Amino acid sequence: MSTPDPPLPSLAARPPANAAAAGPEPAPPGPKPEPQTETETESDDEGARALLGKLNKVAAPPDLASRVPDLIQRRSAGRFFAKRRLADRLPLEWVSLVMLALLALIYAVLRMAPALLPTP
Amino acid sequence: MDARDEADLIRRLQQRDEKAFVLCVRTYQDKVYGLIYRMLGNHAEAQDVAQEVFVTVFKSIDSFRGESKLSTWLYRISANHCKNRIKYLRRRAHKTTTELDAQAERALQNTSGSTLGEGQAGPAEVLEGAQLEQIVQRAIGKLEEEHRLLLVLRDVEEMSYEEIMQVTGLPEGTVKSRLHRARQALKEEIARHTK
Repeated sequence: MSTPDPPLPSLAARPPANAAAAGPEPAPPGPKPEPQTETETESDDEGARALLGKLNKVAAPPDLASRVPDLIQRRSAGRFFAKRRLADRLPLEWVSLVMLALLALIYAVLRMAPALLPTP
Repeated sequence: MDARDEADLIRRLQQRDEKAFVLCVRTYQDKVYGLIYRMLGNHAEAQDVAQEVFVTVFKSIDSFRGESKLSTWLYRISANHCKNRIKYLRRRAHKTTTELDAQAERALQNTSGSTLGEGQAGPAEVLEGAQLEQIVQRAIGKLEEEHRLLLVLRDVEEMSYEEIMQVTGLPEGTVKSRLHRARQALKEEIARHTK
């Protein structure tokens, strides 16, 4: 594709997307001692886990799947996901051929018309 | 969605197939939206960020190398967008409203009885559950974004440590210790709210 990239918003102006996931980080210094084992952490935190586990599952708005393609279509100035009319979708060559065939048929009918008409 | 279907979906996404894109949104929207909502505590913001996540997927699908599951990659994009949005809102001194009234109303309308408990719940239990959910959601909103993310991924979305490591890029030990601190902080926040 030779056209330039669509004017979709860039994340460049924001902090780098993977800034927070850059890799191992040293634990910040603090007065609280680090838990040593998985068992220790899991058993200590059972109350919080149980509470969070009971939270409702949140469903996405039902129109999200239709809104996102619209947004992409708008931001890409119609380059992607444009709602095309029937005329845009039909290949011009085929339309031309059909029109020629139609004209030929009309011409043939008109040529044969006097012969088909009953003579007075 | 099995691995073959996922590979096929990714291939079609890379071809910018609209139907594939809609399928992708429909398949993952609840997971993505759930994570974002729990991180931000606001439906309007969550909806906006969820849209941005899928726009990013559309823009960046060519860079997806298939080293992780598509859902993990989506969670990673969602997490990064959430962190950015939290920082942005903080800069704007935006008060993160948790839509408590709306949420309570939704919970009351929820006749499935799934609010914080199994089986049929009466109005009192539903109201109590809704209030507790508000308190928990508000407490999550008070935590640092890294703590929120780990709590939501592990305890709400019930992801494995392996998946959390892929989403956050943190080593297992760091995930566990931060998760512990996050739970402690959550407990303290809830205790503060319920005093």
